Amino acid sequence: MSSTEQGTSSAAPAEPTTAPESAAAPEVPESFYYVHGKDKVVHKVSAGALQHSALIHGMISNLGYTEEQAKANPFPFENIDGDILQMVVDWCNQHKGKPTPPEDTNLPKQKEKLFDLVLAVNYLEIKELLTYCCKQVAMMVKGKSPEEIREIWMIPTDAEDEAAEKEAKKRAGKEAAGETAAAAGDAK
Amino acid sequence: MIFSFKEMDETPKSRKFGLLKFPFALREEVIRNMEFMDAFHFSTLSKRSKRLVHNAKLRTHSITFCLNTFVANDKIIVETIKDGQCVMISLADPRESFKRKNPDVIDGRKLANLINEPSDDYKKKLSAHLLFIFHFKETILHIEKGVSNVHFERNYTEPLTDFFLWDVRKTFDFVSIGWGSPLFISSEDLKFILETIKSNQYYLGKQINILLKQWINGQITDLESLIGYKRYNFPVDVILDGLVTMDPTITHEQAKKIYSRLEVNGQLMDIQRKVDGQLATVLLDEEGCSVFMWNEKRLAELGN
Repeated sequence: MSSTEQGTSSAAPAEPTTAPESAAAPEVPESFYYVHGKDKVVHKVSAGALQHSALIHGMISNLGYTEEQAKANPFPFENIDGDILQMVVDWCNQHKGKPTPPEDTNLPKQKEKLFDLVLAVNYLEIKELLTYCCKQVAMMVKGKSPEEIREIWMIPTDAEDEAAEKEAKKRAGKEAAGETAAAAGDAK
Repeated sequence: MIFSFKEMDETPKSRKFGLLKFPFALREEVIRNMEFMDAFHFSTLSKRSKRLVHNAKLRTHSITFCLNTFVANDKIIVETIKDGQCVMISLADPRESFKRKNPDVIDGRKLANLINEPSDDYKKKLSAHLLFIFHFKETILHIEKGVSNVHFERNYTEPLTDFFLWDVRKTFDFVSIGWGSPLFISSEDLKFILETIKSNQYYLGKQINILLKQWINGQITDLESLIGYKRYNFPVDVILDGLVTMDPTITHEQAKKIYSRLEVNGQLMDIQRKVDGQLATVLLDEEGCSVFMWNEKRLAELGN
């Protein structure tokens, strides 16, 4: 995988943050990890910011990577669009070590982006951000009529659901028949 | 090191997204963040969306069915959070209902029309739908006195035993009759409420007082005993209002056996039926109100 730091998230701290000077507490340099999405653009993120993601936090907690090893092994999230991963990284950086506010108004308003973000955040197991996202999705239909809700969330009618179910059963039947035929061929 | 990741639960293939592309847990989390009316509207879209709202277990504080002697005042009140804002749904014909006076009241008929289910009664359809899709912490029934009628005769045709609601729900957390202003229902109706409609708590207001008066005046003859537990929530002065009381037939010691108590600490008194002089002993104590009607056989057993 070709990864360069050219795509390092602008919101991510370029250098390890420094702790306030204290004679008693020796400075511990913050560790950084690297992630990339579908677009292969690598984002440098501090371990502190990544703590928001239970998935990544679980993975890195026992790795004990050096800076070089971390750089050489970015976490690949091929199923997340680059711009969505950027949003996630920005959010993690902005909320690093801070209590999360009751609301987040900076989430995308565009339906497709928001839905992509929800799926990514759910996958990365970022609980607080997921709560905001779900609230935002719920707000998309606030005060709307049933038919407007149907359109916004693309809810099929009962007839459409039944047709899809019939189609799925038909497909499953064909696949099963295909597998049986293949198995019979193998036996010969 | 090479990392391999599990696939996302549902990777969308097209750019068109819908809520149902979300994994189940996410759909439910979205539903739980919806407002009451939005969730209701969503639940009417299909069988699947109805089930989805039900499965999301959207916590809603209370639903109160207010059935009035004046049928135009029938309504459902939903309190989404405790002491929060209420949603009021009129169950009456909008031409007659109190909705005319209050624009915030939602027309129940319109809501029922959105529900795609066969039912000959829109009130039943709406009530059943609400009780199915939402998880109410408290389900309350108030049977109230309306402004137009004195006696409890719904439209002068529908007896209490025929209320639409009984086909939908017979169990409540709280049932009140005549909350606020006294409402008199027949002893048959009271018996029906106490025996058929189950509730953790009842407010019967003046019902027991009325029942005792009816017994004194000879309107009820087959009553052998009456127990009103404290959970029925009535004050002593309301029970005794207008009743002439006398010294009790029995002592506190004898009362233990009669009322099946280990100790009897409350007030004992007699009331007397006017027509034949038959006595009944009333015990008012911490447990509530217990009335024991005497007859010759019972008195003989007492051995006084």
